[in-house]
Amino acid sequence: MKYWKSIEEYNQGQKDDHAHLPNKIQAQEALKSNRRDFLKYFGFSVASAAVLASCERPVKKAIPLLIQPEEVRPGIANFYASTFYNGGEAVPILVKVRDGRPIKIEGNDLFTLTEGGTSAQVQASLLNLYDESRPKVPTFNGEEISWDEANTNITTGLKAVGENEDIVLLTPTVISPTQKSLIKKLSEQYPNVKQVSLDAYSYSGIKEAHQELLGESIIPMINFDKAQVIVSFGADFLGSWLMPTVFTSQYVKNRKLDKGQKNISKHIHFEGFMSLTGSNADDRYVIKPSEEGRYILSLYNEVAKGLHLSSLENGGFEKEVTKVAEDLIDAKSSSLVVSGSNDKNIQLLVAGINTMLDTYKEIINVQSTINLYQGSDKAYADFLTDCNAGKVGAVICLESNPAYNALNGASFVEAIKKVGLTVNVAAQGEETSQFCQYVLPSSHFLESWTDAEIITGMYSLTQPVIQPIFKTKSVNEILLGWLGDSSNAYDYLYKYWGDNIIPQSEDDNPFLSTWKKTLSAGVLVAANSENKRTLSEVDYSSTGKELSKEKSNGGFELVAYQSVPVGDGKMANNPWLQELPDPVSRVCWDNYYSVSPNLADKKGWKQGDVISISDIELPVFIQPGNHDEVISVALGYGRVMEGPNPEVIGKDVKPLLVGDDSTVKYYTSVANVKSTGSTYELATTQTHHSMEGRAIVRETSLSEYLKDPASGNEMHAEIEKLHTSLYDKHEYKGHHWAMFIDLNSCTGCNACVVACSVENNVPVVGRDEVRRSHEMHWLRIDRYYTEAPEDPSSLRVVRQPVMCQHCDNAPCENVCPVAATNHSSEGINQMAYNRCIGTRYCNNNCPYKVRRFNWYDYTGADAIPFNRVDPAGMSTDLKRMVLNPDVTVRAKGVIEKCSFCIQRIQEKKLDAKKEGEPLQDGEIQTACQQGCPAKAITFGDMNDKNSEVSKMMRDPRRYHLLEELHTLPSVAYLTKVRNIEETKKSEPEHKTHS
Amino acid sequence: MNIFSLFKSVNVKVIWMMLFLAFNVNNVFSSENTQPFNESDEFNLMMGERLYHGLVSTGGNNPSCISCHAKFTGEEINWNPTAMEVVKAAGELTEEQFKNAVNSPEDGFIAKVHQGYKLSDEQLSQIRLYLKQLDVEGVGEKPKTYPQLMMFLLVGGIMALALVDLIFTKKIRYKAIHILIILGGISVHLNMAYVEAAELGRSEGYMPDQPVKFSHQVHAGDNQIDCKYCHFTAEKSKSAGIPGTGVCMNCHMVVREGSHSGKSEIAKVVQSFEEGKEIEWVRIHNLPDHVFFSHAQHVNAGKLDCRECHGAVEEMHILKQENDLSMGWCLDCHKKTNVQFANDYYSIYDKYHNELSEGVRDSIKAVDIGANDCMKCHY
Repeated sequence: MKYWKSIEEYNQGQKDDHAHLPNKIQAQEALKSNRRDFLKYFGFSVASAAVLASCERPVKKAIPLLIQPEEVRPGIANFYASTFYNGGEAVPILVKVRDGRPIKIEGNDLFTLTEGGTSAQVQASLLNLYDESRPKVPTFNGEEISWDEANTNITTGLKAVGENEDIVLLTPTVISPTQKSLIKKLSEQYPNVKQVSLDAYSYSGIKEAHQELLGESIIPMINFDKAQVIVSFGADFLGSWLMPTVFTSQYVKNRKLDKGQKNISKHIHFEGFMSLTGSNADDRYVIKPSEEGRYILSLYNEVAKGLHLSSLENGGFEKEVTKVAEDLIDAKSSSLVVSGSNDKNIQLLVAGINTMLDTYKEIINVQSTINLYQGSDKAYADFLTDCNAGKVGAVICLESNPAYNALNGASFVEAIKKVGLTVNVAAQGEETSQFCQYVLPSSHFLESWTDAEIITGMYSLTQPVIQPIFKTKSVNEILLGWLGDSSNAYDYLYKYWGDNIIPQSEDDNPFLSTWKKTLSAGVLVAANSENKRTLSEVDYSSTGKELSKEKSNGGFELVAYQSVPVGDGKMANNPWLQELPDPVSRVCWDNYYSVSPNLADKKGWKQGDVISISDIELPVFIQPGNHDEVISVALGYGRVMEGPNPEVIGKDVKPLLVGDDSTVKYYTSVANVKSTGSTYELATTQTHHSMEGRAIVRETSLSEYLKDPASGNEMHAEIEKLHTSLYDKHEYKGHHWAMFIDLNSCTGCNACVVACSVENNVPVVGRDEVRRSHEMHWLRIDRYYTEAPEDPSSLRVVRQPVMCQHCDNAPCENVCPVAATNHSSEGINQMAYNRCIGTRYCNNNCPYKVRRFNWYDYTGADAIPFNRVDPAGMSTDLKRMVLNPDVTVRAKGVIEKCSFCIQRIQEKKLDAKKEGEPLQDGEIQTACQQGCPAKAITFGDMNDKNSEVSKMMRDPRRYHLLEELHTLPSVAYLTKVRNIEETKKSEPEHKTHS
Repeated sequence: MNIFSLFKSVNVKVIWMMLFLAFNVNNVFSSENTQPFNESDEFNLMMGERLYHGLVSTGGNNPSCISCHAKFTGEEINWNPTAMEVVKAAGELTEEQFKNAVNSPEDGFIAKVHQGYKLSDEQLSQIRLYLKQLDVEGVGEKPKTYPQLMMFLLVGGIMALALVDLIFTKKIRYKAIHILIILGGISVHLNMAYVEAAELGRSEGYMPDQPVKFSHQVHAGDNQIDCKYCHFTAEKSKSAGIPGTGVCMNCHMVVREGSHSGKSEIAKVVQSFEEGKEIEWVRIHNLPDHVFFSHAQHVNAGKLDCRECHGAVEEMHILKQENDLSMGWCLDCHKKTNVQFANDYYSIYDKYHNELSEGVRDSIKAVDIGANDCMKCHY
């Protein structure tokens, strides 16, 4: 068997043990019903029919706006440019506002770095706006106070702070120029104000290294799109490292073959556990995190040797990295080495390798800096020391939540006990609030005026799209309040931009028109500034010495990583993110200890056995591709947040990482690993909707592809020859919609899955329902492993987004007894919810397993209250504001599935009719396509011979899922091409069912 | 089926009052000066109620209050203020002002209508008392009529008689007659059940009272204002839009007196505008949540006249839902309505264009381009 989805499936071979199915006893229980039940139901239905019949028509009101603004038209959505930023990544966005409610976030396509791409977190951040657990009013020691009172008391408190005491503003990285200027003003007014930045994930190492290299503590801009060879040491740049959305967009530019490109970049990845980026690599080396330094040292030596430069201390892994060094040298000046380590020495040596390879010219641009993650571990450690020494008079946390975000939250809680005035400004119900005297509710970014300078000279505005829902104020307004400035956040921003930012633009237009243009576009790029930074000569010998001394002892090592859905945990109470399966493990609603199959075997652990590491108990997940001595676990869980779902999800593993050193390290050696004897059922979608081991993903190597573009896809031609049908062919007189998915571009980041859920009101079902395979996502990203799990290095991963394939010969259509699902005149397999009676025949007959059944009413669509099962709190009045009014909210008992975003198709068709012009190719974008940072999805009209999809139809890489069944899907895939050396026998093992 | 509605509010109070009157009218009048309770509020209230309803004469030839200031509106528009509006207006007046307003109003329409009113102070204070009570209690629900129900019960009664005769009395010799009656009765019942069931959730002919007596006949008919002047998003959006007071004020900044209603109705609009309070119109055309309908598609792309669906709005004082808005009605129209094929959007339909030029067909109907696909309206 070539491809497998889970370790169970691999061990069982072809035979799936269907362990995930509910056991028979349960099923029989459920089926039991007797005559009495029948009479009960009969009686109930007669009674309800009678009640329904005598129902009166509810009186509905139509209340127009008193004076309707010109641009606000009922039924037509407006898009406003804004910026997503919550302390981690910053992404320029467009917010769709329908009838006064923000209902969807799209990427801003005018921002050249993302080109409209988003991430799962960006998409999901919308729901946090409608979170009823947000702090709603300012409080002092838990008692409600007014804003005026709070501001007066706090400013009085600040004035009372002694001269030799500090007022510490604990902020996340501030990327807003206006906010920076406000903090500066505050420090002018209160000279003892000190700003300390605290990031939820530390990037101190890379900044310290550049301090040495450039004399400036910065993170330089990295351009992955210019690199032909990328070597990454544990930097999960497609999933969580620095700016994953930007990097994904850049990375895939060099991975595409859809326009006849002849080359793709080579990606080599070193890591200790299976990460999203690692699973996309061409070559993957599995190393222990503690060996990383010596691997990099060895690579340094090998590269130096190849370039005839002086080498350093022996790292001990020179043999392993010879090949990698050759690749790097071959692509000199277009190769790139990155490391995810937070160790200054490692980052310095990586910079050393990059310097030798001339990477610092094109690919790493030191003139342009990434302004994210400016926090410094040392500064924060000093702050704690000061607190404990009584040198701090007031602490103001501005949305930084140190009680959770700091590695050692407990030490913060301890330290601020000695501080006279503590203020927490928070947009969420968070841990720090309970330890502070004042809690001031700050607005969600969709309710605030602010701005961002994400990368030097690249500005983006944040504008509110709704009035604050609660009595909240934006951080800028709060700062203005403390400054005694009566101007509002907009006036301040307007003035600041007029004075400082607009003059930087190349635009010669008058200010007002430039401002309006910027507000509409959302982004502004400053004219190029002069090159001011130069690389200095660094002597790496001491660094080499230090790294060569690093020893890895034989024991286990634990790596803590940021998962793609939950990340640093800032949005941990967001049901969309919790329900999103991790792209690697396909587990949702929990974190867990991932171990390799070998380790599990050795220890006798099974999937779901709960083990304890230094008293933190979590279930085991057997993850192929992990190092045999590495246990990996996701950060961002175990948050104690208020919410509709007050349960704490997962465990916070940061306590395991706390060391003596002030620098933050995300791995640690662990000695104390114990089994607890209990088990826990993880909610995993990994084995659901299994396609029973048939040939569904097709791949080839670059060399084979160059010889024959159809390589790996030989089966397609073979099957095309056999196609014959009893049915008449559909005739599509107008449009014939089709979707193409380039497996080479898809990284598996899952942005599409959340985008789809938001657009189509896909319900959240909660952990228990996922355990029963009841998840509702219309679009899933299947993940297949190939090769044996015993050898983690050789393990390869293929990802495949699967949604309804909109077959021309759809098996589902034939079996529906009520014709609720049938074929449209434009090739769409349509689903009429109000006609569906819930037989689920279509579900059973679908070979792709893409249909979803509403076992309950999850979103509050039903009039019958007992139908409602809402474990994620999605049916509250406030949360329901997020629903897309153009898509029906499905009730209990109906099937649903991907509709090709029919509402968007209809909208754009109508726009074209209104204009009286033919529909342009690319005008219709499905939600998944628009959200995708990798542009892996293409949608269009196959009847239009010049459309992108028609061109892709002629691509020899094109194939359809299970095409041997002659279902004639409208969704097609392009084979995956890997940049690997060995030429494999590319005859996939498959059965044809003809 | 309306069987269950039988138990609902048949206006018990009205019936009780009628009975009471039938037996006691003379009694009340004859004992006017002797009974001690004649001074009590209860008596005055009762008198006020009767005066309002015209059950007791006010003395002159004046019509009763209710003949103009009706409690409920019917099929025809009543331009006069309703009972509740009178209640509201009277509530703001002092006793003296109220008396003047009824007997000798100063100007306008009301002066013409109330000419010759000479109600005594006692009568006026009795009416005023009743109006105060209305202010507290409201006018209640509109009494309902159930013509179908009588038919249903009648047929049911005949069937029961037939059954009794069939089993016990046996007056009619031929059993076929009984059986025919019963079968006929059942089929009438079933037919009624079917018709009622099919109309569930539909509201053809729905014409609710609106907070302002806005007449489409006056605006669209008499004054020839284009529909899209007020419903200005009909060509752009799915929703035609209910105009805000701002739009009304474009004209009513100047026009402050209506041809039928005098100042009272327009005053409401002006008040809404000045107080910044939106008017809460009652929505008439409702589609279920699972139906997507776009005005822009039909009005702009399809170039349909508003009347095709909404009927002769320019002849309606009270707006009424003309069609049942059922799916069958939509589909039927799609089958016979021509597509505006000259629109360049349709240039992709090569086959149809060829057929049109070859004369194979003379028109393209909406159904030919998939207007009746499920997912044209349901998604």
